[in-house]
Amino acid sequence: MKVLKTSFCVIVLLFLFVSAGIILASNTDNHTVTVTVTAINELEIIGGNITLTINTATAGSNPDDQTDSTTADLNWTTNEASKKITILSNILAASANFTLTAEATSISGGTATAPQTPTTTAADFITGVATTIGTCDLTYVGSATAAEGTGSDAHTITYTLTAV
Amino acid sequence: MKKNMKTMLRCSALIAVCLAALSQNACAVPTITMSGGDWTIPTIDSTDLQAGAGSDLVATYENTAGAILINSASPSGGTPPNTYRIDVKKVDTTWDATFELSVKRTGDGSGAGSVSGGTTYQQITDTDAQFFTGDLDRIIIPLQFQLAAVSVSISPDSYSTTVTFTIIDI
Repeated sequence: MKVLKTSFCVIVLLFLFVSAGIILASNTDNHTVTVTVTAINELEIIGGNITLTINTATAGSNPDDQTDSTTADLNWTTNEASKKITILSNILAASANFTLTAEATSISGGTATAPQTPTTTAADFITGVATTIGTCDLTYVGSATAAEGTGSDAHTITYTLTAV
Repeated sequence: MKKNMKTMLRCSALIAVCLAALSQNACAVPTITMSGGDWTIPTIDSTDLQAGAGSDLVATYENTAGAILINSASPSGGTPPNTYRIDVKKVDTTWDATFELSVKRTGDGSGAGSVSGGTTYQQITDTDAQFFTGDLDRIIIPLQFQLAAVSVSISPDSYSTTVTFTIIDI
């Protein structure tokens, strides 16, 4: 009787081991696919420099504004949320001879703010930028009064895609 | 003593019968192995933009055809014609639902049997779906994977999923 019990145990154990072996014999196999996406925040001015020449006026009025919205575009791509684009100039607005304003027009991928007078402190130019590609026309308007006389201002305008 | 011997003989016979049955089952299970390792897509960064700022990321990435291989074996003792089906699915660890991961077979491999189907990209989902069928043993069946629908709408992160192939006797 003892032999029978022992044998039965051996059978059960063998059955379990071999069954486990069958399971491990593997009718499945796998591998891993890994994708790593880094933060992407790219911004680029397309087009050349802008020259605004104020040289006309209606008699009795200040000189006519000069506008350029075709020379330069601003493009951006970001895969992060909560971004904005700021604008600044290397010239303090109060120190400039004339008035320059910039505005993002025909915009996609963000929300344009009101026309900005760029100065040495960065100001919001486009808001609501998040995981998107975007583009806009850069519309510059140069204004002068008769009292401001003649001369020129050479602004270096910098746009920055940054966190809100 | 004689009774014990008789019992031992009976047990031995029982063991033999069980092992034979198990052996028969073991042979009836087709097996599958993969080689070539994992597929780690080179890091996607700003150099993957289609045309710089203002453009989206390149949407589609593929690994080298045949870099990952499947070896399938039909049950040698199984019931002819020893055919099997290979299913595929994925189990996500961290994955973006926008991604479209697909696989196709770029060759037949070699061996006594044959394989059929699976030669066009098939999107891998979270549930098993038939990839291709075969019969008898085939080795080094080349695969190619494709990741599509990549865009800047996908947040920066490291994503991974496990692709599982299952061979089923049919």
